[in-house]
Amino acid sequence: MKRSIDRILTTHTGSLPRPMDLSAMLEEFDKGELPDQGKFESLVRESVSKVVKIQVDSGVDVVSDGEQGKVGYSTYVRHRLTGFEGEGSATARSDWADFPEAIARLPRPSTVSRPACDGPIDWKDREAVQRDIANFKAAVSASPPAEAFMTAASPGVIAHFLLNRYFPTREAYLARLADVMKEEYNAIHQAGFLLQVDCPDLAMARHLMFPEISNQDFVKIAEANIEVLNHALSDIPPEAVRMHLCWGNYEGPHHRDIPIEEILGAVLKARPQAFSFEGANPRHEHEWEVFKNVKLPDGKIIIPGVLDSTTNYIEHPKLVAQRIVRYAELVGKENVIAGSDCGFGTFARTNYQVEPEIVWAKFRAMAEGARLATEQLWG
Amino acid sequence: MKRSTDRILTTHAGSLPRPEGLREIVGAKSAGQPYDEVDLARRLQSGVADIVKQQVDSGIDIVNDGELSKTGFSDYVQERMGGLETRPSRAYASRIAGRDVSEFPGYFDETTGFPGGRQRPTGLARMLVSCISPLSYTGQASVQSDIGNFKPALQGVAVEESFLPAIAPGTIEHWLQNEHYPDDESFLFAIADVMHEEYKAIVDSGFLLQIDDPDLGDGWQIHNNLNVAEYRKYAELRVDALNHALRGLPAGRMRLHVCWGSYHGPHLYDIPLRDIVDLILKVQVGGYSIEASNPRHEHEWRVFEDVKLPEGTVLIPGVVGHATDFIEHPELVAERIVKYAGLVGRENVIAGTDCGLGTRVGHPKICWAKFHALAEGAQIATKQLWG
Repeated sequence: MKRSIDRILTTHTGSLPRPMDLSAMLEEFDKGELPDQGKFESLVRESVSKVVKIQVDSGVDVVSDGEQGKVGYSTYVRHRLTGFEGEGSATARSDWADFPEAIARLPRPSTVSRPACDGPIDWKDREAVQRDIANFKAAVSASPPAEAFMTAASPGVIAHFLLNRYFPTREAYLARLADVMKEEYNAIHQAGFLLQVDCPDLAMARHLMFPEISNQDFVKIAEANIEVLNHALSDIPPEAVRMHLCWGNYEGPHHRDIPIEEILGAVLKARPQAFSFEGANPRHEHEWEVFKNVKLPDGKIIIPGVLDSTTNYIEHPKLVAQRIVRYAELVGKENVIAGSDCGFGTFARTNYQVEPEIVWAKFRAMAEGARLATEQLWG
Repeated sequence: MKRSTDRILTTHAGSLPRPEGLREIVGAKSAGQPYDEVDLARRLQSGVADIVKQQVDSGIDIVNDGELSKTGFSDYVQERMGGLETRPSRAYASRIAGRDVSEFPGYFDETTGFPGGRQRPTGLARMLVSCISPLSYTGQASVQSDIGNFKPALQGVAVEESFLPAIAPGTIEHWLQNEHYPDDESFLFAIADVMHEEYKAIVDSGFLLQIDDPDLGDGWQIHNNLNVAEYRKYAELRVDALNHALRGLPAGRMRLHVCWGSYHGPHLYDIPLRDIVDLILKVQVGGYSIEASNPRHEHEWRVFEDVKLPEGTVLIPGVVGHATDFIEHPELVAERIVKYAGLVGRENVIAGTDCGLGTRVGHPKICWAKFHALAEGAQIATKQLWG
């Protein structure tokens, strides 16, 4: 994995807006009503190629395929695996539950379905990840970036969104998910891309799935998820993997978010060399101070969010630089890569939280901010 | 005006969520439609009392009336001025995102210049208001009614201070076309003379006066053809007119609120604070409230590394904001306050909001929760700054 050796590198969380026609088609695909598979696949290929070019042109160093072919960063696995035909249920957000009258005003939620696991899990579409890889390879050879990463759902986040109604225990469910997902992780690694495992379960699940238990008990759950994750990543060297954790990518109160301080010990036990986390939104921006007391283990890299993925305000490059420099001064400039709080296309939809054209402007602001920070840090 | 002598005081920028049903009646009155005068008076009285209590309960030290009697923070003076004519229009008076609009056509509605489908345009944009004869102030009864609703609301509650907002001449120009005065200058100074009466009435009542002047910040996007030097000239004339309107009034009883337009959007081309800060500080008031917490302006605390506040004045940076429904973490609020205190002195900082939260956050309860975070953050900062 490249690090910020002589300048601050930039990246983001992975998902990016899909074009309108592709979003509409992904919604059909999710409902099992895709009329024209061939047209869908060519649209995905074309979108990946465009979205890689736009990242490179916007100054992103470590780019992704924007998850263009996926309905969502976590639930996409149900299209690739057997065993997910059960009736699901959406989790409530315990922070919004404190504002019951406000809930009615929330924007239309994603229609992406979240079935429960109701049978044995195995691969039914091993080719899907190979199609992703082929699309991404073609795109990066046309628009070469500094580095390229591909995302995959962690066992923990799959278990968060797709409830277990089949395995006798949560542990058994997670263990099976890990064994199966290991194939996808290995495939991405073998293709030569950095792997990013998405692990919002390590933070978001605290207030969305386990609001009743103590922080301490939640950390035990997070540690168990990390143990399973480490097992699933055991074939891949740590320096080829990064992970993403977050508190849920929505504009809301977030006053029940667990502080990063509480989970950082667990997160640092995870195998990936780098971890990305929210650092820009007003509920987590102050948490850079945590690194005054926590020493980053040798070799680790942090990817703090310097862009808020829930607002259409474009961060000022000087603010981006201030944020980067604060982290660099605490953990060492070569151990910081500038990132985004979360994805800009968590689920495929036709109205995004942040307008696509504003996403690219945010990337340009991040690149400019990284350049300003580089000037300050390298002089 | 009180300052943060032994702890960080808290306040906000003005507009607050309206109680259920009130906005409709205030709108009807403003549109000249039939409404129940007694009912409105009763609702305003109890509404203002409730909203003062709500601010106190949420930890706000320097409170206001929530602007409950007003249709909006600026267009309310249409009802308080003589010499105007209102005509329906398909055109929109001004576009406060005038420089951003062309770069982000997917985000902004092409006709209105407002974020498309996300926020409703304000009603004032649908009418063209023109000045067709000499301007006069006809709002004495209205401003006295505001004062009369606010005074009893403060009985029996513990506040440090209380303020009433009023709009600045430069911002009135955003929606008022001049069809009478020979030039910009005489038009502006005529508006200033009119508004002087409202300002004086508020100061005479014993409340702090807050002048709302988004124009100094957002005029730059409206007048999208000007360069910085030309814009400074434009802004300087507005500052002169405002100072003319404030003449004879005690600077220490007045504060100024400046922002860059509270719409949610890219704000890519907002004029940097550094380019206008000297003009803002020329306004003869005792306190300056500015946006300081949204992602486009948060970095600007560093401007005060080399800009000195005028002697005896206070700075009111926004440490929670209208830009998001996230509730700012109190530790972040404290961090922001301490940064400003380090530059301008702790006694010269009052913790505020970027802009009015009333119409910009998703629900009234989000507004109150942000106030709680603001108060808690001020407490944390106080501990750090006073030990």
